[in-house]
Order: sequence, then structure tokens, then C-alpha cells
Amino acid sequence: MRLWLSGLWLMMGIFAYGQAQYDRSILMAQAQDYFTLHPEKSEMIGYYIQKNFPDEPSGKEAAYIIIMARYLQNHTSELTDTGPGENNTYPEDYLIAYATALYSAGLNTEILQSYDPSGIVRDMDAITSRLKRKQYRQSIPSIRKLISRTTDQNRNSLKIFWSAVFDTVPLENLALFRDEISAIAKRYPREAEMTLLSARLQIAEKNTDAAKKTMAGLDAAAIGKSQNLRLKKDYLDIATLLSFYGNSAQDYIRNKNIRDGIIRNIAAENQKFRSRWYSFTEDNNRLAFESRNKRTGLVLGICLLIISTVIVSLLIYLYNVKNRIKRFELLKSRIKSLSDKKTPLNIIPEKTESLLLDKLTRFESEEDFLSPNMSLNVLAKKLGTNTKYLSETINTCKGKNFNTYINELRINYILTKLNNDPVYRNYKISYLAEECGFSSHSLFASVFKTVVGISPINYIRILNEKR
Amino acid sequence: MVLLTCIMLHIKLDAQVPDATIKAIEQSSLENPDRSKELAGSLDMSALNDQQKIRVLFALTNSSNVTGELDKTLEYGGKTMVLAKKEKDTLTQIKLYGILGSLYQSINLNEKTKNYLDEAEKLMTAYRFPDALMYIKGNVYYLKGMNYAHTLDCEMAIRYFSRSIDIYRKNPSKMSAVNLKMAYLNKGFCEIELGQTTNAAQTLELAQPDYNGAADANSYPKFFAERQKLFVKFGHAKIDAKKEQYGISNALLLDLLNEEQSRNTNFTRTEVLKQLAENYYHLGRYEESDRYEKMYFAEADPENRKQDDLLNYLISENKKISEASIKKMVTKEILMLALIGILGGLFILYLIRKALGYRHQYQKLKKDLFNSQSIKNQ
Repeated sequence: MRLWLSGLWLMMGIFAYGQAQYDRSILMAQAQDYFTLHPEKSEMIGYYIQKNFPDEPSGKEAAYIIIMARYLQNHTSELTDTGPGENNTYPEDYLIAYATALYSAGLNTEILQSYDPSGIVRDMDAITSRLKRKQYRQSIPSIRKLISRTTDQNRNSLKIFWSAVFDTVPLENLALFRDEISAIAKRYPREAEMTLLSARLQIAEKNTDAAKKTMAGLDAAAIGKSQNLRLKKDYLDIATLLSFYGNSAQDYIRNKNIRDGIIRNIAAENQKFRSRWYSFTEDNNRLAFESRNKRTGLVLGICLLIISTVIVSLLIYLYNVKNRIKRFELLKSRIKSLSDKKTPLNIIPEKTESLLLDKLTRFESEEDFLSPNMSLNVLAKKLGTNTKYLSETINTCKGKNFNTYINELRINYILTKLNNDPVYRNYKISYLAEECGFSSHSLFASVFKTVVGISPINYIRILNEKR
Repeated sequence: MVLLTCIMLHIKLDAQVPDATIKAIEQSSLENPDRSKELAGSLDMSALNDQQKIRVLFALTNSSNVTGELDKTLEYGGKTMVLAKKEKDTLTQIKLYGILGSLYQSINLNEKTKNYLDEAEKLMTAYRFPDALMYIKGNVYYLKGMNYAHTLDCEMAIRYFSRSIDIYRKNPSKMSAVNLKMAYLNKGFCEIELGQTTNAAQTLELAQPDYNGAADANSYPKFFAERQKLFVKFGHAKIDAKKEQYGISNALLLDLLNEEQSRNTNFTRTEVLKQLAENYYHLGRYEESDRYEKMYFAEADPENRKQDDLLNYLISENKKISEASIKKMVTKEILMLALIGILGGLFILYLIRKALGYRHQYQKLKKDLFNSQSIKNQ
């Protein structure tokens, strides 16, 4: 029954987990769909995932969604909230999106490279560093390499990277990248960002009619309403160029005004982002130092604690042993002084001792030792002698003191009973103790173990097993 | 007693020698920064007291700032700040916040600049400046004005420029003469932004340097006066543009371009190109506007790139410094662990040896005691 219930719980757990993962993947897909025209919705989904899926992978995926959405809406100064933390790894998507935002603000991606096991940020950096130095032709192999690294997983983040990268290439140099832009555009059929990139290339190649045709495929109204400022800016950039070449002054003024406004916004936001990123890196450095400092303190503290514990234990041990030695030495000196003073021991006449021995043999056979009141005094009286003679005789002739003598007789008695009469093996220890004259069962057990070497319970168990 | 007197004398002698050097370091920090650094390098910093360290580090901050070594300026500035806070040296703290704020402003880190200048302003409210140092207060206000101007909050910027102008005028000094003219100039630009063209024209006139050759050579350098005149002219061109007199503005701007070209200078060129592009755009001459815009971007791009590089360099240097300090700490940790391990281990070994000795003695005693004839006899 219990097994069945556990199985049911496990099944329910797996089902709930599976359902949660399924929900999360649907939300992720939806957030990615919203990126182009409704990044604000993607951001909301990102927050929802962050709040409702507290596991680490979900948190990182949500961070990626939020970064993308903030970047597209030109809220880059808020990106430091989702910046990379110490001793962490991040999915490629996250790194690509973050690196794109940094690159757009003129910042190096050096810090991200330590979180980048696949080396994709390094590949992005190879492109951007060449483009910054206006080494357009030299950047082509790196661009091709990165195109080949496009997967279903990272295609969305790479898309914004390509838009940002080619945005920095002057129009007169854009034709150099014709093959690469075509290859990229093929990977993103009918996607607005890539349509705009293709149109830009067509303008660069002086093919304004084709560019107009390409632009006609876009939903201008939807782009106009969109919160995606990057897309809007790219769209207006091309529209401004087309109206400029088409000698449409009115359109040119309108498009240029809006575009310049967006460019100013992006520049101002970038300034904020740069300032915050600088503070973020300073804080990261400080935190790394502090956490290392804490660790150092902890390691040293543990080490000191272990060593001091060992030292204190040893000191306690030494103190105890030293005390014992002192006590033993004292005892030894006392014994020595006693033995120096003592009178000859054998003071009992031989005849008396022989008589007493006979009486003791009788005492043993009559089993009088079973009386719980048996003591040196009682026995001396019973045997008609004094305690000194009796004690001396037992010590000398039996080789033990009175108590050991009586205890051994009692234990031997009960051993005989246990060996010969199986009924005794079923009795309680307290009964056995009482039977052989012990006042308490713990004393019996202790004496039994001293005499026989094992406890009475174990002795009985062995006897039963033999049987 | 004799020994104590000798020690005291020795300390006094030691303290006197670096003080003269410190003065030399301070004096050369602005005029001959390399000499200042060289002298500072020859000093044994550990022999200085905290006040002396503050003076040396502050001079190094200044000299690094003059030579444009941002990372060094920040490093020395940071160290000076820690000591100045510890010693409650308010004046040094204010000066440092000003220097570091202007450094961050130079790479357009507006928020960071604002934080530093706010700190300086907070400290200034409780600090009474001597008259000779009032220009420092004016400088902080001027920097705050520039910070607001960079973030396009021109009203606040004008307020701070006016405060700084007020202080510079009430406390005229060689140190504040240049800054007074700069404050007028930037106040004028902000007034233009706000459309206060009449005020702007008056302010720009006040920004005009009274440079008449050698007579005023003490007030500001020739280089500054020439540069200032060009900017004032550019300001007037902006006023004309604001008044929609684009033709007049363009004439002034083109004149400025020629003037800069003939002097082989580049003070106003980028801004002039931008203004020309805007003016031609408003005149509906889009091709010329486009041409000047492209020229403007071509001029501005390397400047922006330079700023990016500086910022990235700073970030990377900070990381390197942090990693180096972590590395230093790890080395220290290993050394400490080794020391604790060796000392503790040796002590433990000693105790174990001792314990074994005692244990042996104890066992022997026990054996002796129980096996002794005397006990058997007992």
C-alpha cells in the first residue's frame, strides 16, 4: 500500500514537473515571438517566468528574455540588474544578447568572456573589434564563422547582433558584405529586421527601387506603433534614405526628425548604460574581493579551529594522564610505606586454617552463598570464627577477596542452572540475579560479565543457538 | 634615557627630510608632473604619517590627472580618499571628489560624476573655505553645471554656473580667471539651448577673454584666450541659428572653419560641422546638410571611439587591479595556512610526543602497581 502511494506521489510529481516545464517552454516561445513588434510583452513574460519558475535554468532564460526586450525597447541602462554574477554560467542566448547591448554602447565584452564556455562571445568580439577599426574585409571570415554557428536556440539573439553589427558599417562599405548579408537573411525569411538589412544593402548597391519593393513588404503601421525602438530606428533610417534619394522633401523631414529623435534617445540611454556598467563592474570587482576575503577568513578560521581543537584535546588528555600518574605515584608510595611497616601475614595457626577450609567446603556445597544477606560478618559467625581469620584464609587459600569469592560462587551456581536447566534461559535477568543472591540485576550483569567474559543475555543466546 | 632621546631625535630627523621632499612633490605636481612622480617614487611611504601620505598621494593624483593617466588617477585618488576619510580631511575629500568627478565626466560617465560632485557639495555645506581657497568651491559648482549640461538639464546647469561665477567674481584669483570665462561660456550655451538668446548674447560677451597680448598674460594663457574666442564666436552662430537666421549663422560657422584651418587648430570644428548640417537642413538644402552631417560623423567618430577606449581601458584596468589584489590575498592565505599548519603541526607533534611519554609512564606505573609483590600480598 505504502509502495503504491509513493509511486502515485512520484508520478504526480513527475507530471507536475513535466507540466511546468511544458508551460515554461510555451511561454519562452511566445516571448520570442513577441520580440520584434511587442518587446514590452516579452518583458512581461520574462518577469512572469522569473516569478513563477524559481529554478536556476528558468531564471537564466527569463533573464535572457528581459535583456532582449530591454535592449530592443532601448532600456539598456536597466540591464545591469540582470548582469552576470560571480561563479556562474549562462546560456548562449543570454551572452549574445548581453554582448550585443554592450557592443552597441561601445563597451567591451571582456567580462562576459569568463562566463562563455562555447566561445561565442569571443567570436562576436572578433567581428566587432575589426569593424571598430574599419577592417571590413578582414572581418568577413569571422562573420562567416559566426553565421555557421547559428542554431535554432540562438537564432533570435544572433538576429539582433547582426542588426547592430551592420548598423555600424557605413553605407558605402555595406556592399562588401553582400554574400554574408544574403546568407544571414536566408536564415531569417520574412523577419522584419533582416528585411530592413536587405533593403539597406540594396540602397548601398544603388538599387533604390528594389529597396522600396523590399520595404513595401513590411507592416509600416505596426512598426510605427511598436515599442521596439531599434527596429523603428532601422526602419526610419531606410525610409529617410529612400525619401532622400527619391527627392521627397516632406517625407525626408518627417522621417529624419523621428529618426534623429530616436538616435538621441538611444545615445542618451547608452550614456546611462555606460555609467551604470562601469559601476556594475566596480561592484563586481568589490564583491569578488569581498567574497574571496570571506572565504579566506573562513578557511583560516576552520584551520585554526581544527588545530586548536586538536591542541586542546591533547592538552586535556595530558592533564588527565598527568593527574593519574600523580595519583598512582602517591598510591605506590603509600603502599610502599605500608609494606615497609606490615607484620608477617601468616598469623593463623595451620590447624585453624585447615578447619576453616573444611567449613568453607561445606558452606559451598550447602549453597548458603545464595542468601542475599551473606557478608563477611555473617559467614564468620556462621563458621564460628572471626572476620580477620576468615578473610585471611579466603585471601590466602582461595586467591581472592571475600566479595569475589561469594560472587564467583553465585555466578557458577547460575551457570550450572543455565547449562543444565533450559527453563532458566527463559527467565528474566532480574529473576536470575535474585535467584543467585544478587540484590540488583545490574550488579549481577556486571559481575557475570567480569567472571564469564560476556553478558548474561549473550550467554543465554549462545546456549540457545548451540541447542 | 639616553637611548630614548636618541630614538626621538632620530624620528624627528627622519620626519623632517621627507617634508621638504613632499613640498617639492606638491609644487611640481601640476607644472612638472614627471618630476613630481619621480620624487614621490624615491620616498619611503611607510615612513610617512597619514597626513604626509595624503599630501603625497594627492599630488600623485594631480600629476597623473595632468598626464592623462586615468587609471593611475583613480588608483591614487582612491587611496587618498580612504586616508582623507580616515583623517577627516574634508578639504582634500572635496578636492578629490572634484578631480574624480571631472575625470568621470571626461569619459561621459554622467551618473558617476553626479554622485561624486553631490558628495563634494554635501561636504561643502559644512566646511568653511578660507578666501584663498574659495575657487575650489566655485570649481565644484562649475563641474556640477557641466554635469547638468551634459545630461541636457540646462536650467539646473545655469543655476550652478551662476553660483560658480558668483564665487569666482567675489574671490578673484589667478586660479579662477580661466574657470570664470569657461563658466560664462557654458552658461551662454545653456541659455541658447533654452532659447534665451538675449541673455545668451550678453553672457557670451562676458565669456570673451580680455586678452590683449602680454599685459594679461598672467591671467590666462594665450592658448586659452584663442580657444575661448573661437567658442564665443561659435556661440553667436548658435544664437543666430536659434533665431532662425541660418544664413548669418552659416556665414559665421564657415568663417570659423576657415579660421581654424588657417591656424591649424581643431577646437570647434566638430561642433561647427554639426551646426552647419542642422542649418542646411532647416534651409531645405538637404544635400549640403547630408554632406556636413557625414563630415561631422567622420570627425566625431574617432572622438567617441577614444572615449570608448578610455572607458574600456579603465574597466579592464580595474579588473586587473582587483584580480591582482585577489591573487595577493590568495598568496597571503596560502602563506598563513602554511604558517598555521607548520606551527600548529609542530606544536601538535610536540604534544603527541609528550602524551605518548606520559602514557608509557602511566602504563608502566599501572603495571608496577598491580604486579608488585606488595599488592599481591595485600
